[in-house]
Amino acid sequence: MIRRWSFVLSVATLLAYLLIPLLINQIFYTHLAILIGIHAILAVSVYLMLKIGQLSLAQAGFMGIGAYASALLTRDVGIPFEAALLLAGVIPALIAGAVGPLLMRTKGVHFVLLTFAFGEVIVLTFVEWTSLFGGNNGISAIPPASILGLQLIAPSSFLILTVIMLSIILLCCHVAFAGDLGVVVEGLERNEPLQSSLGVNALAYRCLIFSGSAFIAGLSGSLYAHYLSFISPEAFGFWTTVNALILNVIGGAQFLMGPFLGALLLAPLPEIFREWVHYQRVLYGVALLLLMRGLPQGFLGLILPRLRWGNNR
Amino acid sequence: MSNTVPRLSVRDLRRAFGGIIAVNNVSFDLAADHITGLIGPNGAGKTTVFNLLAGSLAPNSGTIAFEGKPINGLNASTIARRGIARCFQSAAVFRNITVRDHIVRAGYLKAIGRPLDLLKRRSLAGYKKAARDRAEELLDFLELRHAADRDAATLAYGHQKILGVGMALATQPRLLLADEPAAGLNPVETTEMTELLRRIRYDRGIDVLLVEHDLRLVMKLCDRIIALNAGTIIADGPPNIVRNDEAFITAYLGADHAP
Ligand SMILES: Nc1ncnc2c1ncn2[C@@H]1O[C@H](COP(=O)(O)OP(=O)(O)OP(=O)(O)O)[C@@H](O)[C@H]1O
Ligand SMILES: [Mg+2]
Repeated sequence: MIRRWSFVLSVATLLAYLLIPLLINQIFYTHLAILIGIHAILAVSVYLMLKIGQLSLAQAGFMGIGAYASALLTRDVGIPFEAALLLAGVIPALIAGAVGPLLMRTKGVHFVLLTFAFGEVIVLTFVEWTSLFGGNNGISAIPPASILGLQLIAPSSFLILTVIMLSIILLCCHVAFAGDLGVVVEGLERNEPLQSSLGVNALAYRCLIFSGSAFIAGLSGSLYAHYLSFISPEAFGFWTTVNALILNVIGGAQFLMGPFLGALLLAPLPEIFREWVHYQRVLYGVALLLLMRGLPQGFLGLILPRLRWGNNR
Repeated sequence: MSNTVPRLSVRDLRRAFGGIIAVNNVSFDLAADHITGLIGPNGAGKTTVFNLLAGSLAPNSGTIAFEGKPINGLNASTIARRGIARCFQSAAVFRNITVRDHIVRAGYLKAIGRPLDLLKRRSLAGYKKAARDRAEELLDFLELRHAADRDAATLAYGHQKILGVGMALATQPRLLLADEPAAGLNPVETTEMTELLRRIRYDRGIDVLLVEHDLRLVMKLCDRIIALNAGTIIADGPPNIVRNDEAFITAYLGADHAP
């Protein structure tokens, strides 16, 4: 029962999040809403890794791979945006799948450090391989998104795309975790040796989740690139992942809607308080400290006590 | 299963941790239809042998064959799917689900052992149905029916350990590795556990390899005993022979007990 209500509530929140900026119809609010969506998608990719009890600091790197892939494929190769969007997910997913068996053998601090290094390698590649990625200057003149021949130049149309993507991603995660995958993933986090002894290949599943999280991060990268029409390496560094992690912590990393709620609360702040941007990290730090003490399950932990999305049925 | 191929065949197994050689050139065969006890003082290497057999650890050298097929180097989940189950030294349960659901889950997890298995929806449904039927039968066998609908985490420790054995059984193994199933149990629970292990061997025909510190239990239950000390086998044979073996008495009970 509570589960059905939380579903209705989630859909209502997503609809409000789409409709309110459309009704206000001012570019600034639409802009905020698009940023929220892009950040929320990246935060969902962090959430997937947290779900198997691992913190990956490479997620913004995967976002960058998606962004560069999508930008270059549409601008220089000329493939349609729809295909580029898909490839922006597939390419990082394949890369994660390739390095996964190496990285996923480690756990805890070792994994965090390895993914940190891997993320830095990705950013360094964008910086150093200037002929392909344009170095620190990045890539500009990225063509706007277009769906079925319809160019999404107006911010409101891009917002609709963003919300649709976010909704599809959330729904896919919800459905996947409500089924057998959810059972396996829960067991991975809670008692991996036991689950392995019952015949579950833990490494393969952890690699699958890693790959899936890279796919989702890549999608956020593509949206980011085609919305801003300009990208540069520093957008995909360590701090971007940390921000996505903070969105999870603030929203409630136990819940699938947590990352979205976190984005809703936090993503607009740097845009609204532009002159405070320098203090943003300090503010985040203080907010995090307060939260960890007072609300270890984030805001959703306050609103939806005991409710856990996508765990066992 | 022909009688000439042993259930399990271990040759020159060796595993070191840094300078400590936890398992040193251990060899033994387990014939089918046996309960075998693996005993030895603390740090003798018993759990390490189990970890090697179950694939949670890779051996430095040596071979392990299950029913004639080599399994060393395979990962834990593959070995589990081949038919070796283990229950853990500490009572191991998932949280927040009932006793029945634990057994059901244990019975079908190997059907989704690899991500691609998730796509076989049709055969999965059949697997789950079979796992549910098996769970009902197991609840009776384990004498846990009275607790079937309880959250497993709220069970008494002894029942949690029985549930651990039940989850291992739900995978339909042909060999069960039980690491100290009676550790931490009170005398009544210990008797229940002993009886359960006996029924696993005689009623269900599942071979058991047992690590246990309770020597009385081991001597009563096992057809054969392998004694380890400092990673090496020091005695191997039927209980009444090993009991009187000098090397065993010295290593296990201390020199002053030697005859
Ligand atoms: N993961 C590990 N890392 C380092 N040393 C280990 C590890 N596992 C076991 N050892 C060492 O190997 C030796 C054998 O340990 P093992 O746990 O196999 O003994 P055991 O016979 O099961 O003992 P107990 O009766 O206390 O359970 C010990 O000296 C132990 O310290
Ligand atoms: Mg031990």
